[in-house]
Amino acid sequence: MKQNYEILMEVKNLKKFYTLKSGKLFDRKLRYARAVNDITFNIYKGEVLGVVGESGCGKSTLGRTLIQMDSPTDGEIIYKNQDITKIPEKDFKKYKKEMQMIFQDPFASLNPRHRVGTALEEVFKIHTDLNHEERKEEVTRLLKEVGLKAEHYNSYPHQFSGGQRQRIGISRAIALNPELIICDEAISALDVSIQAQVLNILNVIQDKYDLTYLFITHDLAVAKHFCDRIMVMYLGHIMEMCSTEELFQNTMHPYTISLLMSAPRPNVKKEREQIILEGEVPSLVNPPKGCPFNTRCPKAKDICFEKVPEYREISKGHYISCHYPVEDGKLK
Amino acid sequence: MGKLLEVTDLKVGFRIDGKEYLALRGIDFDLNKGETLCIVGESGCGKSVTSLAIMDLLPVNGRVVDGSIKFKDEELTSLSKKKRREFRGKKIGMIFQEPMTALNPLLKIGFQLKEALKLHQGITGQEATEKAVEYLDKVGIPEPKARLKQYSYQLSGGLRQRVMIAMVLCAEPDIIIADEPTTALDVTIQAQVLKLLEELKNELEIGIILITHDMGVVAEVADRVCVLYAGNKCEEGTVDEIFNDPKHPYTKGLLASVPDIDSETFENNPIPGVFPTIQEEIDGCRFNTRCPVAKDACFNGKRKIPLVKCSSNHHYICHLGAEYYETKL
Repeated sequence: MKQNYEILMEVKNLKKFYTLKSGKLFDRKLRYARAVNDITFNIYKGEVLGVVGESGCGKSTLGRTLIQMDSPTDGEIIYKNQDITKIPEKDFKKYKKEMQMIFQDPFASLNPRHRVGTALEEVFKIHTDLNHEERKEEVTRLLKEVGLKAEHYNSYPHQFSGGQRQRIGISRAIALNPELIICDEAISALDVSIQAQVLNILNVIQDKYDLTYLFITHDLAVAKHFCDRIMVMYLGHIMEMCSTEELFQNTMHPYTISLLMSAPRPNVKKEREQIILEGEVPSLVNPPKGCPFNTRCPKAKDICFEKVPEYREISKGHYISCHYPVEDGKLK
Repeated sequence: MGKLLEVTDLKVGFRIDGKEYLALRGIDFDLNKGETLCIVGESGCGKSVTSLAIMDLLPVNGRVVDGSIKFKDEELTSLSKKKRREFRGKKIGMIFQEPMTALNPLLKIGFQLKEALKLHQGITGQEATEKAVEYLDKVGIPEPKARLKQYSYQLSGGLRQRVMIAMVLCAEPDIIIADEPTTALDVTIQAQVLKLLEELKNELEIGIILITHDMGVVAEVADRVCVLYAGNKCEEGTVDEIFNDPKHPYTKGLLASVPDIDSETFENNPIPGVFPTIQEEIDGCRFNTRCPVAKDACFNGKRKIPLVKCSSNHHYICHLGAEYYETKL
């Protein structure tokens, strides 16, 4: 981890609930999908903070809420001494430049009818006063930065491969010298050999532009090798959060342990202990009472079905929300 | 062990803008009873085309140009469309990546299962209902009776995939082809489904062809592995041979670009360059532009790429291998 403990963003009790209509015509009772449910954490400057979890755990919602693509239901997001959830839209524009996002499917995030150059220039049209020549120069520089060529300025998105499109997505994200980039499953749609290339680019530009990443992924192996700290989410809650090293050496939450165990390994060395979690992730609309993981947890006892465990710091920098943290890394 | 399927020199072409391009450039493999063969490769390598060719489900612009597909000594490629239908689903079942699109959203699960039972086993009525429940139970679906009355959208992704597997089992096939069956699922659910396939294989003694891009999945379930690149086979061997003693530069590169969750370090050495499209004509080995050890010979289109045998199961197809082999002799 980079030795820098300056806080870039402070998130306090963040909640994002989506309201759902019930199917009945005159039923006015609203139901909520609690996608992000009372989350508190910090993002430090210059780190790569990984967010892992299964689909529906709220990791993408968290990313979108942090940069105000979705407005939170409750809670604070403090960035540069400002609670950005409370400031008006027009004041937020200056912060918008500093927070960017890289999406999973780069093809869906590019307009198929725009040449890549035009699409990238738009960023500068909106946020800067550069003239046409200067904009073109900037875009060419950006394309080179991510390993593409100047000729690609006039190409259309469909002429690129998946990996190249993701590079365009990255160049758009770094166009305005941001502080924070949210990578939402940025490499999940790519082939393994291309994933490695894109990870390398992310690494290089992080050093060059002094970036901070919130790296949302479902792939624990990638998270292990790319992130400084990891946050494990389940049903809108943080289950465990600590440095990557600590998470893999001293795993304490039963969910994290079972997640690590079910990840397939690309080697055939040894028979390993495998505990396959039974059941599925409960619905966000109808979460279980008590600890959200209690329906699948092999260690659940009575209290787990009654009380939501407190999210607490169990040792320095190691946060967990569990009534019975595992001590020796073994579930059984 | 009996041979279930034998594919030799299979070539599949696609007509694009009036010209035919080869998506498969002659691949061979076979499948035995009670084993899982994994076909791995990146998108565009031809792994899905292989499965579609075996099932005779190629899109209208695609056709088998050359080669043979033998199911228990019966040649499939020369059969009529009508004859071929007796194999599809009945003898060779297929599980697709996205179960939501493979199931009919307008029909109840029970109806769809019973339809398969009627078609393949001639069972109808009450007996079919009982059989359907039995199959749902076999694939580990809780409350199978209640599920019969549900629609696919009411089930989670993992359950849908189990229903698909149950439906394939209804025909009691000899071979199941699973095309990326767990790619759309979460890791904890993926582990459940892979375990189920493994159990079914052992219990029913069927052959499974698993098509995947995930080396982790391969290591978990495969008995033998076949690595494809841009329509060619690079290497084939048992799962131990491929993972512990990979020979082909592409296999090596592929394994090196997968981060391992158990290792402390990960040297990120990606394979440089981009994957060729099927329209691209490349002289010589199709991997030559990205290969870290390519020599002049690899760019020579006139030279046939030799097959190098390492053991009875393990072989690879590479110019370099031949040179290496010759100097060793």
